Amino acid sequence: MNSVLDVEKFSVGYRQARIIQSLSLSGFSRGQLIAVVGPNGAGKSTLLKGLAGLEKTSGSVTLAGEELTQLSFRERASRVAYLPQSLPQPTSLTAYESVLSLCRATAIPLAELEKRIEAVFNELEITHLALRPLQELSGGQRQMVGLAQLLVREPELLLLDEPTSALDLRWQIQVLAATRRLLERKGSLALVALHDLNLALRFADQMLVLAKGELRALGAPDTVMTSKICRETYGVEGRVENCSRGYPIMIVDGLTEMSAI
Amino acid sequence: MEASLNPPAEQQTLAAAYRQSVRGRRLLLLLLILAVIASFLVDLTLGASNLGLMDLLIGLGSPASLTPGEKVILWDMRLPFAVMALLVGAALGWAGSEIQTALNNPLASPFTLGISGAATLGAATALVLDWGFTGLAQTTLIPLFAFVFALGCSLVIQLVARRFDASIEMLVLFGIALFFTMNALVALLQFYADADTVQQIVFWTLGSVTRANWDKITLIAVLMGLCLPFSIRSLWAMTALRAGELQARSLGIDIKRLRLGVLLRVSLLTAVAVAFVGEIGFVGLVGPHIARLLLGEDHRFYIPGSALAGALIMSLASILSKSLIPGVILPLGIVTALVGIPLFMALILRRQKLL
Repeated sequence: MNSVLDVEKFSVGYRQARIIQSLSLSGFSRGQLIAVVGPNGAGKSTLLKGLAGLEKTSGSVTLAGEELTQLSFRERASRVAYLPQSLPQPTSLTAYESVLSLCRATAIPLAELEKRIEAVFNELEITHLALRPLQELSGGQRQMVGLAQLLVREPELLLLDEPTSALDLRWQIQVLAATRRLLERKGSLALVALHDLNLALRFADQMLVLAKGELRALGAPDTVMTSKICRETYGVEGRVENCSRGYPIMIVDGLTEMSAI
Repeated sequence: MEASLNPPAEQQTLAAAYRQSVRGRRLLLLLLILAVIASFLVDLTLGASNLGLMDLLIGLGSPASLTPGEKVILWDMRLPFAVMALLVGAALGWAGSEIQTALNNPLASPFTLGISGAATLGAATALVLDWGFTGLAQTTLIPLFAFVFALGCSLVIQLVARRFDASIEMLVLFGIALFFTMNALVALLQFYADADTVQQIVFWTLGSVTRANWDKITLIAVLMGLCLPFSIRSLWAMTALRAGELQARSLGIDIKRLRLGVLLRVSLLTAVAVAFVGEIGFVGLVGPHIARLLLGEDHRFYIPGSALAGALIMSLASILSKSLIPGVILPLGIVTALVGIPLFMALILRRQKLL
């Protein structure tokens, strides 16, 4: 299988303080959602920022056969979209304006941009929020607008940094379900940093486990999140089992003894 | 928010609903322009002599209809004072809107970076020390020194921003430090100055348009004209910055460069405004808030709206300064502060309520 994204000997950070060290990743298909998981400080956000070109990096990143590190930042930004951990600011800009203004910086013609915004707002079911100021929207609604800001650009690679961290359960499901739908329709690839392992197990096609800036495991969620990985990366005794409806869920039995980590 | 921002009708496309809201804002901008013109005309009619609006308008069209004394009143006093109030208000409102966006802080103003303090120090230096050897009159030296000091202060801020890759917080703290340093230096000069000079320094800091003349007006207008194309070029990028700094950065918008450009424009606009009229508080803070409430934060409307709101506040303050005490023109800085403080407090309380 040809991987749509290949990362080789990828390091992020300055020479003296590399947070991600010589990481190599492959085996990603179009339309897949890859959950990037790991404990605090594992390097999840750093990896995503590095792939987006927002941090100093070395190594190779190939997207659909093209080396991203050789592109100008603007060219790279037209193919790779990054959603920061922070929600869009609660300003008096309307949801529509926030998307339009961010995309006016790209080369997308206005008429095309208007069509895309319409389609994405419909897809995310946030049309009724379009002309409301961001400061009047809830956290979940603002995150949907943040997602719209990205999706309008129709990127090939989406990098979502903990998109569910500030949201309640309903919005967590809504954001990830909408992301999944759009990935399948557009054939893009998404790397999504997540803290909630149950969400990762439920929505991801593959899980990428990071700890201390190193790759610990990559593959199908139910095979990757073994008791051993759980113990070694999180310091938690846990296991993945299927619930009565057949969904894989994480069961935590307790904390690992410190000496065993 | 503006009244036209209703949810779109079922059949209406989002783009059409958005364009409708844009038309509403254009209309509001037009109303602001009309309000500024009306205030300017009222400001023109106020003064010690009995020249009415019609006399003035006829005099503007055919100067021969005025007596030499009336000509002096119109061309050397009323018109330059009223135009100066508009220009300084517009410059401060415009600078305030840009600095609030660049520092991502709705409580920032052109004075946050200590530029006005530097101008005061410049004016005080010109007043206290003996500059007779230059052959220049004090009326020239004071604005010259105020401008040079304010510009020097802005260059130091630029240097710090570039050299230390300064964050927003660092810039604000550095501005506050500069402000207190300037205040301390002004106090030191006052300590050594005689009573008359101290009085002159205090009067300068109160802010007044009565020092206006056409040369100063031309200089302000030219500097505003120079800043305008750069501001226009950054309108979309500044709007995008309000949507979120990381969001804008991830799109390839060079935020550092954008912020340095804003700092330079704000510094120039503030320096030239305070150099000629002294410290005029609150216009640069309140003007952008009024524009934000009326027009939102699409910078195509927000920046011109802030400039117009600033011009309107200054023009209204000029009217009040002439009418509060018959026969006396109060310093504008006092009036803008008296009107501005309650407005400022109301805005803070409103913000607190929103949070």
